[in-house]
Amino acid sequence: MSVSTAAYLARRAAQKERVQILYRRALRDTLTWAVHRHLFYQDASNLREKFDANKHVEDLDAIDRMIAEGEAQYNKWRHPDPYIVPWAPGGSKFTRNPTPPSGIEIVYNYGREDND
Amino acid sequence: MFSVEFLCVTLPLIGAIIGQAMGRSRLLSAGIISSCVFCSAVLSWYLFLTLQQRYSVGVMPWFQIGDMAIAWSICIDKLSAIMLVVVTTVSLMVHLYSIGYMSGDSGGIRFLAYLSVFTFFMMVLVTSGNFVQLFFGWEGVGLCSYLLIGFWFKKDAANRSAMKAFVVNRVGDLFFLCGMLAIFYVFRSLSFDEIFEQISNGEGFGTVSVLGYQTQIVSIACILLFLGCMGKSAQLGLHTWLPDAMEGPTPASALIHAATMVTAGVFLIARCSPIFELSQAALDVVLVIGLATCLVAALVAIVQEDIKKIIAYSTCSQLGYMFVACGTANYHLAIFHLATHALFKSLLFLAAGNVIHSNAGEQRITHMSKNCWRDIPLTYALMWIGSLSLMGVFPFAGLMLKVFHNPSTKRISSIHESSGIMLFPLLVLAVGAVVSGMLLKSFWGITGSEFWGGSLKVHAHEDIGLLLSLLPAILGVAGALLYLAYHNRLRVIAFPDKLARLVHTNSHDLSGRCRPKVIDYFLLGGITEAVSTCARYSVKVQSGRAFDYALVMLSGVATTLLVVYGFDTVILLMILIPALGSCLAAFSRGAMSRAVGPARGCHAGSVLSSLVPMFFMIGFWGHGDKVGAAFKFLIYTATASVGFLAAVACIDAVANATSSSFDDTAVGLATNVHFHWQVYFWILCFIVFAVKLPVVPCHTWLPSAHVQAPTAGSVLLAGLLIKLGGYGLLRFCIQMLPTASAHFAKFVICLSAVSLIYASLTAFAQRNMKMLVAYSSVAHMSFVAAGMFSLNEAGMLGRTGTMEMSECSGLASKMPRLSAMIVFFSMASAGIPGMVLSAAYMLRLCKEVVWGSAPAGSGKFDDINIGEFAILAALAILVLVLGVFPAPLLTMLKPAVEHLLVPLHKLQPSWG
Repeated sequence: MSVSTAAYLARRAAQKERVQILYRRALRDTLTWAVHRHLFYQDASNLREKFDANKHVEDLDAIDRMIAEGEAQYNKWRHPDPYIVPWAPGGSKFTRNPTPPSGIEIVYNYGREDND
Repeated sequence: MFSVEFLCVTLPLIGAIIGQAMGRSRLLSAGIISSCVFCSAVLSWYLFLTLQQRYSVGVMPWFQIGDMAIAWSICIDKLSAIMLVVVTTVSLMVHLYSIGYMSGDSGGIRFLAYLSVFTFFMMVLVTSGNFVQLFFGWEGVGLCSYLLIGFWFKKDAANRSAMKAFVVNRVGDLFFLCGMLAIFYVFRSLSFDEIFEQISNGEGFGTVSVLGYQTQIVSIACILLFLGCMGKSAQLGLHTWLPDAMEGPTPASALIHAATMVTAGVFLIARCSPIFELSQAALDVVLVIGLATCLVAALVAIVQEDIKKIIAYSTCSQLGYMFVACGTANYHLAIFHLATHALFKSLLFLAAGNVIHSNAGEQRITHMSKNCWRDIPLTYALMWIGSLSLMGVFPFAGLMLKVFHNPSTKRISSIHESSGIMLFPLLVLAVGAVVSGMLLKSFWGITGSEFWGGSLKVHAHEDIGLLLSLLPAILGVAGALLYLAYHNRLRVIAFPDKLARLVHTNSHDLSGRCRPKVIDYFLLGGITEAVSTCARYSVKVQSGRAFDYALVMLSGVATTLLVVYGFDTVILLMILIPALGSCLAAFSRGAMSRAVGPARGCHAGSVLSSLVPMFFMIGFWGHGDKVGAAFKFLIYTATASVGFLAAVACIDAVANATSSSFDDTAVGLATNVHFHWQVYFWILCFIVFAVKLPVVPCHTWLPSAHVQAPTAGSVLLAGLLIKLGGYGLLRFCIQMLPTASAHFAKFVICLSAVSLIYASLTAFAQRNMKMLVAYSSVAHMSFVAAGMFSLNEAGMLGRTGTMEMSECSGLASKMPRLSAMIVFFSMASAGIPGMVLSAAYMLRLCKEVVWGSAPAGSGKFDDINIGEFAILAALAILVLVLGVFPAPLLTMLKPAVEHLLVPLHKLQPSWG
């Protein structure tokens, strides 16, 4: 494999990664924006169409440009208060002070219990 | 002293202390705390039902400054009685609810104690007979709000929200304080009775020129007070903390951020209604802000998805209604709405808590269990009652019902109705929401002037007619129909199909053509773009370099002096101060670079005995660059001392005083020395003490000395040594050179203000705890606060071995006793200096050090033992006693201070 081919493949792989990340984020953000589920389905298929419409583009520079545009658009329309499930980091129940269930205790000297 | 009124107010505090002390028995503690609140509620009802006329119960004197004597008292009239009933009843319900809601939380008792302390402060606020006591309660409820929002202290978002709430409230409090000062300026009193008496006597109040316009001082005072109310009552502009405050537990939101604390602003305006009646301009401001909040908050609530934030914005909006009532001089109607709103809004919040509880903590209405109303029918019915009350539907005193019909496909299997102890308070509040309006209006006649007995201004009403009274209902129904038309659902309710299509088509035209081009692009987009562009350019001014800010501030001082004194003096001072600062800096750098040996240091130290121990403390037992810090400290302060000696020698030589006492020297200087020479002596003395104090820009020795010094050294430094500067300023500059002091008074005030702001901002930016305390010492001139803080710091260094705040976060879970003391002294320290800025940096210290999750591997911290705790507790009690009962100290200081100020009083006409 020549150097130029390797460079081409590496760049394509990087672009593919960026597109996948952008799509995943945009899809998740669409779910936050859509108040009702049926609206989400419609928005999600529209989003997919936008990505599919350019899937045959081969020009590396054009792809880069389109990805940059897509990322800019995503950043512009990103939801200011995205949905986070309550128990995930940033969620409403994350790091509260619940009492541990019975049978579970905190071991402060883990691994050195025999020395006590 | 132990009257019904006293017990009614203090029982919640007593309950909180006893309950927290008996924290090991959860049930007993909860029982004690709730019982005390119950007794307080019963006594409140008793006071309300048996009240005949306004009276006041004295508790004890507080302090006396000049002619102004302030006492702790409990003032009972209809206004305070109805507020007592509302506060204690809602508080009791919230206490009961919290027992169930917080049953799974390890800090449940602490939570109940906080609620009780809050109830105490709220009652102090509503029963106060003067502005100062009211301000005490005002600050107290703010503190409790901070503690309750940040109750889950391991949660970063909660800590941030708590800090935001406190700091934003502090902005309002600053205006409130200024308003109080303006009121004192106008009426020469802060007692409500005395102020209202002056108003009823029809005395005239002066005007002041503001930007060339003659304005009534009373108007300015009222507007300042209202700005204070805007912070506490979350009105547009200072409302941003309220939605974030929803990070706290739901019962706290029900009590504080819906029923009681946020209505304190409305209460204040109603209490001060005779003063507000004097100023139509102030009432207009209240009206406009209230209207704007009403509309904007309601619109924002529509697009919220978090159930608690919907209710929070609805609270904002309802508070706007109350201010509209105040702005139209219908104070009694504002209080009527306040009372009913407290009941139905706390009902809504507690019901929302039930919904969240049953949906496994989910707060997004779009992600809750599908049609959960079938599983929690009682909560559903209670939410209906609350929502109808909110909408003002007869006979009840919404948007939340959407929660129960959400189209989510998710179905939570474990959804269930809450326990009896959580449902009982809701039922009581629901009954209150339904009948309170009718009871208050028809049975007690709250809308008539007889009910209030002169406790607030009540104007007679004209009948507005049936059509106007029905107008809100008609407009509401019309709005609902238009909404349905927009969604093409009118056929469901048999609305003419053609009209429906017409409305629908036109609305689509509006959204399709007009909205994107005109509204979105030009209006919304234009404003956003303009703000963004301004921010892009203005941010360049914020370089982040302290020197740049200092330069700007000094330029401000120069401009002020230019205006006040004229050109020549400014030039003189601006040349003199930087030149001296440069000389000192060059000298200290040169000395350090040569690594001066101990012999020379000892020689300098032998002359200046007070500095020697500190020099050795830093140099021998300090850490880091201890030698550099020690010599920097010595060179700065010793140079100042040499200058001081020179000044004393010169003064002694030229004064020709009969003896060397301060008084005789002052007389000698005044009679034998020309004013110009007095000015030069004053400048020399001031520079000396500015270094000792220290005041910006002569302060740079203090932070490095603080950081490198051992803890004991820091204690002496912050608690004692730097106070010598203040003492010297008082003794030499003011007592011996009163004429020159009067001449430079404005300059010193300006420089102090700059020093305060600069040091506060720098303190906020510090990452090292000792640096933060050092800069706060620069900002602070309070002996007690700085001394207390140093002791606090002493405990910290010994325990954690680090001063980097990032390395010792989450202490609350590891060292609860020490953490409690840190929070206490932080609050004491966040008292007056800078108000907002001091709160910001002290709360940052708490956030970084006390709250948050403890980092991994931080299990080495041992909490302070009982003995150490007792020492800190004694100091804490001293701080409390000095705050609550400072009269003995002030009485003790009074003769000495008066003696010092005698020469200045003689000069008053020339410099006042």
